[in-house]
Amino acid sequence: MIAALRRRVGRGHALALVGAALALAAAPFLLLPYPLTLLTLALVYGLFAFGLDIAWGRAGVVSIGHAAFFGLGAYGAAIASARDIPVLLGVAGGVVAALVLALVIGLAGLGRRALASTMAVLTLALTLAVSQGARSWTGLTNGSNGLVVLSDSGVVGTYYRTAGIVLGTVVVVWLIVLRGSLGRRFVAIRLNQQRAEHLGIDPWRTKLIALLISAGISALAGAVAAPVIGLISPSISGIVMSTEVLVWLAVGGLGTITGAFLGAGLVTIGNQLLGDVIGSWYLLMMGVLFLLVVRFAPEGLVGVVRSVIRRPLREKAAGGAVLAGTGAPPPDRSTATAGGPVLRARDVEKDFGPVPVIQGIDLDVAAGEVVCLIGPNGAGKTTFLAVLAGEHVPERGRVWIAGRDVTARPAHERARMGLGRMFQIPSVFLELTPAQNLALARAEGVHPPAPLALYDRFTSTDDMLAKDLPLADRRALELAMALSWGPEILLLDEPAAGLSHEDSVALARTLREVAERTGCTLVAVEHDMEIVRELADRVVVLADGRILVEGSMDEVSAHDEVRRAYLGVA
Amino acid sequence: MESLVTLGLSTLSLFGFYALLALGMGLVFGQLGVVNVAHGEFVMVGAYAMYAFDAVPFPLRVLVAVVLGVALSLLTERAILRKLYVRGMLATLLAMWGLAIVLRQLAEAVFGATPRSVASPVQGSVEVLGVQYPAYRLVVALVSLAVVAVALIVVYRTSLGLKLRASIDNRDMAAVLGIPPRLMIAGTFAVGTTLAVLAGALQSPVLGLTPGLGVAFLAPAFFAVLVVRPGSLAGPVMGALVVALLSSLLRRYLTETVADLFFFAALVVLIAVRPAGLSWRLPRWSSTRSKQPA
Repeated sequence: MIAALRRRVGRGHALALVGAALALAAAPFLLLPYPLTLLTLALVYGLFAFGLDIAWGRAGVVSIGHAAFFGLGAYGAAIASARDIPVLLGVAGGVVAALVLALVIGLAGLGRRALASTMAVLTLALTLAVSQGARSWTGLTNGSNGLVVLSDSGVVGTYYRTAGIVLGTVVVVWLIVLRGSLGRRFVAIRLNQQRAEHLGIDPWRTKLIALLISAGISALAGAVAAPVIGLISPSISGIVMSTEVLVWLAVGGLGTITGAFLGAGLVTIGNQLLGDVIGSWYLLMMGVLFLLVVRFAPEGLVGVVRSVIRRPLREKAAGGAVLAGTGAPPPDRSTATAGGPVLRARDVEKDFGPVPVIQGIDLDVAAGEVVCLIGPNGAGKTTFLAVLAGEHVPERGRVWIAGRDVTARPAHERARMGLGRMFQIPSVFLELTPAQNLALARAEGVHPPAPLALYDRFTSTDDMLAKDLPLADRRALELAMALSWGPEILLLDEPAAGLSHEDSVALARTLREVAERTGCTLVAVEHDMEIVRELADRVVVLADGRILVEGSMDEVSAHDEVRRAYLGVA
Repeated sequence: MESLVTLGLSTLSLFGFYALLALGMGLVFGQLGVVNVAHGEFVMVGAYAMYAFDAVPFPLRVLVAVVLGVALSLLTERAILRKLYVRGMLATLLAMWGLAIVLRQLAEAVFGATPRSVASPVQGSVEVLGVQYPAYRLVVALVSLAVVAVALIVVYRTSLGLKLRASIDNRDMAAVLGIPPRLMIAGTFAVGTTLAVLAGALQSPVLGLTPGLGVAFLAPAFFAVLVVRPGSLAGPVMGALVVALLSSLLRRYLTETVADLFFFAALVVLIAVRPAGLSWRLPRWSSTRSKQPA
C-alpha cells in the first residue's frame, strides 16, 4: 500500500500539493471579496477543463460539446435548491445523468470501427440537445429565464467549499486514474493504438472509461459551479460554453493539470477585466487565440514554458503517467493447455472485395515450434498473419489459440491470450523513449520474463525518443518490447527486412535462442532463405492463397512446384 | 391528401438545402479527410452576406456571396489547413472549430446578436395541388437542386470530375499521373465550402439570421453523409433526402424539441450501426464486409 503510494507520488508532487493547498487556504486573507469570487469561478472552470482534459488530452477522445455534462451537473444542483431537495441528491442526479449520456454516445461513437471525428459531431449534437431541452422543459428548468441558486455560506465559505472539492477531486483522480494503470493505457492508445492493442489493451473500453470519468468530473464541476454562478440558464450547457472550455484547455496546455487551471483562470479573469470594455470582441479574440494555438503552439502555454525550462525528455513524453508496472506477479495465463496445437487455422478464406487473397488455408502450429511462411509476392502471407492476429476477419474458416475459438475475437483479446505481434514496418511508441517503450510493454505484459541482458542498451536509453532511432534499432526495439512483454506465440512479418546481412543473421540467431529458452512459438513471414534456414523448424510455402507444400527447408526447396512458383526455376 | 402535399413540399424545400450542404461536406471529407465542423458557419456567412449587401439586387447579391465564399475558403485552406494535414484529422477538426468560433464571434461583433432578416425577392405564394405554398421556398429548392445536379454532372461526366474522383481515390497515384494534388485539394475545399455559402445565401430570406445559426446545420449535414453507403459523391445527396424526409416528418407530428431529441437519438443509433459510414477513404470491402462468421 505504502509502496504503491510511493511509486505514484514523487517528492515534487507532494511539494506541489502542499504548496497548492497552502496557497488556496491563504487566498481569502489576501484577496478582497470580488477577486475571491473570481478565483472561485476560475477554480470550478479549471475543474471543468481538467475533466475535458481526461478525455481529450489524455485519451485522445475529442469532444466539442462538453458543456452538456457541465450543464447537467449545474441543473442538478439548481433544481435541487429550487425544490428543497437535498443538494447532494440533486448533484448525484446530475452526475448520473451525465454518465448515462456519456455511456450512450460513447458506446455508439467509440465503437470498434468508428472514426475519431464521429465523437465531435455526436457531442456537438448532444450539447445542442441538452440546451434545447433545458429551454423547453420549463416545468423543471424555468426555461430561458433560468433558475437562481442562492449560496448560503457567504463569499469565503463558498470559496473554501469550492476549493476543497476541486483540490480533492483533482488529487483523487490524479492518484487513482492518471498515475495508475489507466493513465498508462491512456498514453499507450493515444500514442499508438495499433501497438497498444497488440499489447492487450482494449482501446475502445479504455476510451469509453476516459469519457465516463471526464463526463463525471465535468458534471461535478457544474454542480459546484451552480452556487458560484448564481443563475443557471440553458446557455450553461450550450455551444458557447462548450467552445470556451476547449479554448481554456488549448490555451493552457493539453494533457497537463497546470494547463487546465491556468487556461481557465487566465481566460476567466481576462473576461471579467476586459469583457465589459470590449464586449463580444473579447470572445472573438478568444477564438483567434484558439486558432493560433491549434495552428502554431499545439501544446499551449505550459508547452511553451516547458520548452523554455527544458525539462527532461522522458517527463514530457510520459505526460505524468507511471509507465512502469507494479512488478507484482501477473495472473496465470489461460493458454497453458496440455497437448494440441497452440495455434490452429482451418479453411481460412479472405477476400478483398472481388479479389480472393486466401483461399482455404489449414495450419497447425505446435507449442514451441518455429514456422516460417514463404511464398511469392501476393501469396497472402501477410494477410494470413493479419487474420491470425485478429486484424482481418476471414470470410470463412476458423482460428483457434490454445484450443479456444478466437475467430470473432478482436486483436487485444488474442494478445491477452499471449499472442504477440511484430509488423513489417516496426510499430513502437515513437513519442516515448526506448526505455519507456520497454517499461510500458513489461507493465502490460501477460507474463513478462526476467529482463534480457540483450536489451540493456534500450533500458538505459532514456534521453531520446524512439522516433529518432534508425530503422534497424526500431525493429530491434519492437522485438525487445514483444519479448519483454512475454508472448506465448509471436507473429513476425519480415523481421529481417531492411537489415544488413550480418544484422539479419544475428537477429535470426536471437530469435532461435529466445524460442528455445522461453518455449515461445514463432510464426514468421520471411523472404531471406538464409534466415529461414537458420530459423525454421518447418517451412510452409504459400502460393495464390493456398499452401503449396510444407516441410523442412530441404524438402521444400527440393520440391518441383516450389522451384517453379517461387524460385523461378523452370 | 393536402397534408401529404404539404409534407412533400416541406421535404422538397429541406432537401434542396441539405443536398447543397451534404454534397459540400462530402466533397471536403472525401478529398481532404477534413471533417468540416465550420460548415454551418459558412452557411451563416452566406446568409449575412445577403444581409450586409442589402442594396445590391438579389441575384447579383447571391453572386457576391459566392465570390466572398470562394475567397474565404481559399484563404482558410492556405492559412490554416495546409500545414495541418500532416498532423491528422483531429488537428484539422479543431482548427476548423477554431475558425467556426472566429466566424461566429466576428458576425456577433459586427452585426450584433439580435436576429436579422433578409427580404425575399419573390413574394406571394403559389398553389400546388390545392395547397398554398410560399413561392420563394419552391423557387429556391429548385435552384438548389439544379446546382446539385450540375455539380454531380461535372463530377461524373467531365474530365475535371474524373480528375477529382481519381484524386479522391488515390491522391499519390493521381499526382503521378499529372493531376496537381495541391490544386485539387484547394479547389475541392473551395467548391465544398462555397456550396455551403451558396446554400446560406439562397436560404437567407427564410432564416432568422443570428450569429449562431449555422451550428444547428452541422448535425443534419453530417447525418446525410453518414446515412448512405460511402464511396460515391452522389451518396450525400441521397442522404440529404433521407434527412429532409425524416426531419419534416418529425417536425410535423412532434414539437420542435422532441423532434430534435428524436433526431439526435437517430444519429446515435445510426453511428452505432454504421460507425465507418463517413470513411470514404477506406476501400469498399471494409464497409461492405459484414458477414462475420457466426
